[in-house]
Amino acid sequence: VTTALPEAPPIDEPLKSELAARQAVLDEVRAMLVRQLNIRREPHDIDPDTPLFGSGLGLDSVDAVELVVGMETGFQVKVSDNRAVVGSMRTVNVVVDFILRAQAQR
Amino acid sequence: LNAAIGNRELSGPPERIRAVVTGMGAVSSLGSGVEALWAGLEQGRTGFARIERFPTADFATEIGALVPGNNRPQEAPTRPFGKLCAAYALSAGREALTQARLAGVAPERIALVLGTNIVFDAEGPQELGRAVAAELGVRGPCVMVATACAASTGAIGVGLELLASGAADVVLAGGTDALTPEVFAGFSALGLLSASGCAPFSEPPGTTLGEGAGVVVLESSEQARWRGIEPLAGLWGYGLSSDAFHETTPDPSGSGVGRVVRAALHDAGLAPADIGYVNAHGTGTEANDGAETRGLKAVFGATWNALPVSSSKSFLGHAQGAAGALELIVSLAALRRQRVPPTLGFTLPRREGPADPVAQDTPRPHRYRHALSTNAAFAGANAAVVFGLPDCPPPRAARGRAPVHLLGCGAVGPHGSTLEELELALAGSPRSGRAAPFELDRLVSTADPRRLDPSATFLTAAAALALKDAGLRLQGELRDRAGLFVGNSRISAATTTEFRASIRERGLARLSTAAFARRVLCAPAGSCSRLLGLKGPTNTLSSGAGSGLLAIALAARSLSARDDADLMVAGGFDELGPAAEAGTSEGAACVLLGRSDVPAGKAATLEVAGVGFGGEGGLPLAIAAALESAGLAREEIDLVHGEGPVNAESSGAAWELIRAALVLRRRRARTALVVSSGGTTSVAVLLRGLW
Repeated sequence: VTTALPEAPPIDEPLKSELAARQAVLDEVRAMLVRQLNIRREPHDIDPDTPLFGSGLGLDSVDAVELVVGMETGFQVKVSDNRAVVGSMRTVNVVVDFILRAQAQR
Repeated sequence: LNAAIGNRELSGPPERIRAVVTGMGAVSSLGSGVEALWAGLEQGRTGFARIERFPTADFATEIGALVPGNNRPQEAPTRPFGKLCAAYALSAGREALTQARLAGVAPERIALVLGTNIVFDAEGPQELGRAVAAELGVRGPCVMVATACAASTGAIGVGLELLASGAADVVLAGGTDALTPEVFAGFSALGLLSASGCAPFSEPPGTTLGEGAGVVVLESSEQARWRGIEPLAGLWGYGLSSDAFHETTPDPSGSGVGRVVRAALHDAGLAPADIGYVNAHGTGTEANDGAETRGLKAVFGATWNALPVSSSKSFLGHAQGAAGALELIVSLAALRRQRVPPTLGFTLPRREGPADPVAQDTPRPHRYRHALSTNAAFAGANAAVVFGLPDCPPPRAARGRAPVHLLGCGAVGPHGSTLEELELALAGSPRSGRAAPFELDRLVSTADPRRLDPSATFLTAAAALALKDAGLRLQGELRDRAGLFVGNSRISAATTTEFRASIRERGLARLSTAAFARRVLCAPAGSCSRLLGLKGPTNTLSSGAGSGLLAIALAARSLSARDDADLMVAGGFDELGPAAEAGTSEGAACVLLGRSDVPAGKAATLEVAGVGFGGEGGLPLAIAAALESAGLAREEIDLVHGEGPVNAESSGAAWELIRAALVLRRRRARTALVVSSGGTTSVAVLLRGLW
């Protein structure tokens, strides 16, 4: 006996391109982390939800400036020097969100 | 050399001397001279002002604590700051010497030990020491201590050791620093600067950078009495420790601070309850003040609530390499007047802080005999000193000198990274040039090379190899009593390149903070301590050529005469820059030393039988002192190692020591004298086979 699975709702085109844009930024952020901050992982091995600081990727106060420079030069966004802003970027996904938002506001 | 060895004019070193301060000199943001410094405190006046020396528009603040009269726009970087450093040190040194009335003391018997943070791309800090020593007429040992913001407190410790070992009759010890735009930019980028001016232990957090120089004259109380000089204070002891935690952030538990304070108290022969005042490092940053509070609180326990603890950085700013010496001078001036210096600008206490931060504008009357001053630095280096009224020295049992064993050797360089390769290379004529590639994580599994420059990698590898050679694994409490003394005169060339490139490409305000954190000479020692768990006494020393042997000799001396470590890794390293001279080598050479009463991994076969120090050109004195302390006559020396085949500035003489040790291990000789005379301090180390 076979049961037909309900068909997934079709993804509309705008959502598709949004997801693709997000994936592209995520890939670039991962590459930037490896390049700019010398994270010793393959870019695709970096989980988007892994914490940047502390136990996750092991970044700390000394890396904050490099992170800002990496975001600004790689994605043409302006990041505040305020350390609270940098400190609020808890995960790779949060960085991606920040970049997408900043790019949308441009 | 034979003629040199024949010169044995020294008598035995006076052990367990009581050191006293007979002169003080200061240059600070409160003006020139100790009187100006104290006057500023009495008036409740900070030395903070708008910085005019360099533009501050791109930074978190425009406030600094610069020496009045020197807060003017400057053009070219680095070299003029070296001149400022020298001028500050000279002014403080002359003031201290004048007060101590030293006429009649032979220049060869006066040592200079200075801490500084200043770094030059082209030369080591010993050139600064050499220039100041020459101007002051000092011809004994000249040592630069390079443990960043703990450097001048560390310098006082080295000074006490030189005095106690008999290497000098008088020591000028302290520190000097000038505020550079690069240091300012680095602190700003790390988010450490206060917008409104440093108010330690108070809201809002943040520090204010300063500069200046502090110098004290140290001598034995017997000599001061004999010279008819009234001592200003007694310097009862010092301590050193490493956080082994992070490049710029202190261990939040405060355990590094706890270790350094306990070590200093123990050295002085005092209990926490004997201390009537603590001059804290108190930079004003959240991380420092919190860790320091926790560390001090753990040591002082029951007496904490009634203990005045203040930070002079609220007046002087953070004078970096001069901070400890200036804070000692503030404390000594206050102690003599039976006052405690306040923490100025204290408004709103933070969640954690001293029970009594002396939150007022001017010094407070207080009856006490003994006090303590502590400092902490980038790379996790801590230093503390204990001092008191000169006429009530703490009772202290005379300590014997423990024999010191040489337990292991390790080196990386052009030859490779194993002991077999090393022995083969040293037996012939070793290759010169760059270090052969090796993988640090094969030696140290926890090593994350993300932020390690080649200097740190070389040092860590050589230290790990020395431990491995000794068959020792550092665990638990062994780590607290395992130290690291390193000779180093230059910042990693790779780090300098990265640092310069980041400023060129991104501007000063966006400099690489990772590279900035490594722009202190003690950064490789900090990384090595962290990776290997060496939490005991730490020191980074510069005397130019032979710095590594100086570090080994001082480590042996400390292990033998002190009680704060059981094991000590010591040595030197060099990293070649892009334009390295032909024939020079890079790499690191380290030995593991241990007290004879500590069980080692394997039975020891060698001991460091004696060490000696002299000034530039003072090798005969150094050799005589080494022979004397070993109880050996020159005829009993089988081998003499001077300049060897490895041409490397800081580590060359350490390589020679390893070469000699390997020959002795093969029992081809029983005694070897290893000497270095190329730097600002001449050093002699005697090795002897234990069979």
